[in-house]
Amino acid sequence: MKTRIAEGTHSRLDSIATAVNSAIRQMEGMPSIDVAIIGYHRDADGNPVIGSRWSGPFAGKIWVSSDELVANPVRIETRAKHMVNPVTRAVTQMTVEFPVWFDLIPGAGRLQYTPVYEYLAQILTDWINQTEPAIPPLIFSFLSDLQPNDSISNAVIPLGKVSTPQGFPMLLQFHVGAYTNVPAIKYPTVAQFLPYGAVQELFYACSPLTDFMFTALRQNQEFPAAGAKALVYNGRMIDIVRMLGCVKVYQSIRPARAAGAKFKPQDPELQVSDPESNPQIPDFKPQAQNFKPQNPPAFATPPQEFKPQNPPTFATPPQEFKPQNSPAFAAPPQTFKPQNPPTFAVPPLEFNPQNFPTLATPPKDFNPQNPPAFDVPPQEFKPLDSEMTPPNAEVPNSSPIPNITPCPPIQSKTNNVIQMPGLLSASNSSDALFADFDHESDEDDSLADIPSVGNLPEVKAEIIPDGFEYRCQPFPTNKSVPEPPNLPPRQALVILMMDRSVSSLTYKPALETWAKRMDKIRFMLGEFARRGRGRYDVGIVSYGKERDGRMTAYRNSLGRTFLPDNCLTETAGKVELTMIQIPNGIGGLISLPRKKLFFTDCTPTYSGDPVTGIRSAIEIIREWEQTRQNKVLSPVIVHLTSGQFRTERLDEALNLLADPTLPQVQFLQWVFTERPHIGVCCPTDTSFTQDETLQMLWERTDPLPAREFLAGVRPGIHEESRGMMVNMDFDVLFEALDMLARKKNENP
Amino acid sequence: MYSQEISRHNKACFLFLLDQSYSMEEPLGASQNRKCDELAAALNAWLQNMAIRASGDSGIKDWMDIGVFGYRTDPIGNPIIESALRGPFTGRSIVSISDIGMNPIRIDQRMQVIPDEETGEVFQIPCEVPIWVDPVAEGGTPMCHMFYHAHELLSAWISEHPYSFPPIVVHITDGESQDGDPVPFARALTSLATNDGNVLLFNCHLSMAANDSFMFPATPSGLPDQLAYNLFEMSSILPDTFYQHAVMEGFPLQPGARGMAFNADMVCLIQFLNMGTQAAPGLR
Repeated sequence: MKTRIAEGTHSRLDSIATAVNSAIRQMEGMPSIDVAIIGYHRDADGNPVIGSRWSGPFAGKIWVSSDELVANPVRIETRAKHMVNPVTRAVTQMTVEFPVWFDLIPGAGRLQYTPVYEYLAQILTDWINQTEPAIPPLIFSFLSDLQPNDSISNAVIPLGKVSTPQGFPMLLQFHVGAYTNVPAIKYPTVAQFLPYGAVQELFYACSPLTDFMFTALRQNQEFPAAGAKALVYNGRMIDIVRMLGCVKVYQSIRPARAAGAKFKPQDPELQVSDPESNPQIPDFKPQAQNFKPQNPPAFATPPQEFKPQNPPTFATPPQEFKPQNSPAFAAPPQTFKPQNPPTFAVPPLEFNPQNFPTLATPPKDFNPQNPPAFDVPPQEFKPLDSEMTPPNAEVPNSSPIPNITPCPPIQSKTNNVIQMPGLLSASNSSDALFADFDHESDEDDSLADIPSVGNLPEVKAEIIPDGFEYRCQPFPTNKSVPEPPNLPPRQALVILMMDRSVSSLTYKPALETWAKRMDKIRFMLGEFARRGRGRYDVGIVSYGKERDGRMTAYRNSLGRTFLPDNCLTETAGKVELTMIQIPNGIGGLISLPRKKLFFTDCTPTYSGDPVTGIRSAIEIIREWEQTRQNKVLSPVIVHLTSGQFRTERLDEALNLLADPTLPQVQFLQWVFTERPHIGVCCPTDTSFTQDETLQMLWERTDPLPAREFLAGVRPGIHEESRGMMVNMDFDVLFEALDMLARKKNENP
Repeated sequence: MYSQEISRHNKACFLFLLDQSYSMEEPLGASQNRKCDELAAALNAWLQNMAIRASGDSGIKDWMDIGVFGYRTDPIGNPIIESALRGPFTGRSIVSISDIGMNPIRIDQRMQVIPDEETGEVFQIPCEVPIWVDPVAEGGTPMCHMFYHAHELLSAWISEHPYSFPPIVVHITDGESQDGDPVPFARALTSLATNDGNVLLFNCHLSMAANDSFMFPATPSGLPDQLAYNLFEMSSILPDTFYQHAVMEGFPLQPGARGMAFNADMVCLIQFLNMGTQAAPGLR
């Protein structure tokens, strides 16, 4: 914490103190809240030191009301504030008074997080018992120097035992960055893209962003995605300030303290003003009926690593808590039940259908509390064997130089075929996967409620607070997309059909493959947007099997069923500015800013049904046929999948595409295997693999468009190539479509 | 270990082993140029940067010895192992950076891509670049012969520089060995050591396809085929200084990460060269 903050001139400790002191100053004029500043470290003797960091008149106290704080700063410092002249851009300094309520002093050593959260749980429990809070407490945790053995997701478990009638405490984690050249990761939605180890644990040790947090962050020019969690990794000073902006909104939405349940300050000299005497604070009536036990709590821990530990059992919280290595507790609190693990630990991938709409576009009378009846009963999922045997990769310390052997005749390296274990190496394993799947009962009529594209409905995102799971839904956008005038004729419709299936919701390689699929679909949409000339319409379909057994498909992720490629950027729910590196032509690299577009955010599901997805795609195709004139190419469906479905279901889905009322549809496959497999580009036969699933998918893939023109021009493309990619980018699709459209235009 | 400061008295040694087989004629992933062209461009730029980095008031300091070897076969399968440095260095196996910096074989004019800060786009301008290595692509891949020869070279170098930072061998290939299993040869190479640690062997696999690359993996799980496994087995674990340097540069490394890149494109190749060579003490 003593090192300099990334992109700043002060230490991380000073930066935090400045930001928090500034946030306290901004509490002026807002409804009063109780504030505690807790610090933790090890002293010079190695003993843990945890306690309040208030100083001056508040020294020794844990909770101080914001009214008292604002009126009694410990000292006033004179600081230089930098001002930018909006006209001349000149930077001038202005001396301002800066009230300070506390200082952060670095300790001698770092402390494990478990006793810290135990202490936190204890003081929160006491506070809740004394005050009857109207809203769950808000906790900002600032930390740095994460260590692999920190186990912070276990450390926060005691907070799960702290509960108000309105919910669990909301925990926001902020890792203060020190490296300028390592970018900040702000409010991630999934853990897969975070660095392994402690940072991913931190993801599970924080709450999802709630409505008021979204509001506050947007007010501060921060635009988290739906489903984002309250985590900033390697954050800067500006990120601290933006996160602390949540306090102001928290204060504004917080009802006044209940009458008769006033906070009892420990120091009689610092009495809290009576809320009833404050005209700004409305009367508060305890609303026990607001308690919704079915709502998932706002606090998450990873399901796999959950290990109920000894709970905090403080008898009386000392003013300065100093546990001696492993704290001994007097007696467990009354609510503690060692036999019953906390019920807040909802796995991140668990889906609770009661809290989420189940339709892509819910009907007007949709009631989330009453989900529609399901056509398909819940199916028991049987994951594949997820065990992989890594090869022995040990390297001895030293070994003699072996005798060299004569060089054999030259062989073509490009024709080498490596035989790898299959995804479903035997057909019987495929059958076992779907043994209890009812072929006839999986018809999903929910798509009948999807409105036609003629209305071009604008889908608004639904931010679901306190949820661990977010269904595939568009990002929030209220942008209208005007049709650009004088567009060239649409050349083709490209539907990206996303299979949300994974073999197991807990198998790490499967989830990593899922994350890669998500990344690739964003990449593909970004490429369409970047190349956008209004020539192609793009649609997205995602399908999967929900935990309750329903087969679902969504097709409005772009806000409409399909969009011209040059309108994609306008509808992106989230745009991130990232730096990419490209070769500079002379053996070096240059960095360029690029916009990364986010249109949709999905979660993985059990094995889905391609029939459901194809039906949804067919609806898009029919609407596209009716809407668009002067089409040049036939529609293309690019199926992003790992092949976790029955062959017969894919056959049935493809039979639907053979409907004579439909235009000819090119069905291409973009496969990302859950088990390691070599990258394959547009193979001409099945000899590229021994994997039966990949062979099955190849047999059900149409030839690559424009292959006859690309053969001999583009490496790896032959006249017999099929439109299938395995573990590779499908960038050849753009070349193929452009080439085919050009040829068609030349020779209609 | 791996802490010896690089200086005139304790020189560093970089040995580049370049696959010059016929398959290097194929285009590099996400590029229109041949693998051998891109590799030569990356290496020439690296040599130029190292010469600049070693430059001081008194000219180019003699901080490091550099060897650049290519390996291929002739039409009847006989291995050809020779220095890829041309001009005045022909026939010399290991050359000092001061010699290299002062003697490029020629100056070529190339088009350099420059970012336009106003628009975020790029434009090209002609520039002059020094050339030491030319692209070659013919024959097969006698990888074992190459490692055998590298063992001989570094044995001699280490006997002359026993207290130096251990030599760093950067091996760049696009395919499998065609003269046997290279893993025992690589182990023999990495068993050589100075007082400061064992020889470091970093392997980079170039890909023709726009494929997801693996940079500095810590475990073999997830690697797609036997070639990748072999390269993983041959590659040294990154010393702590290299590991920390890569983490500071934003690479999400896990402990035990190895000096290996698989399915590399040009960006990956250049990053690999920089990460694998510029973290040694005294070079940062």
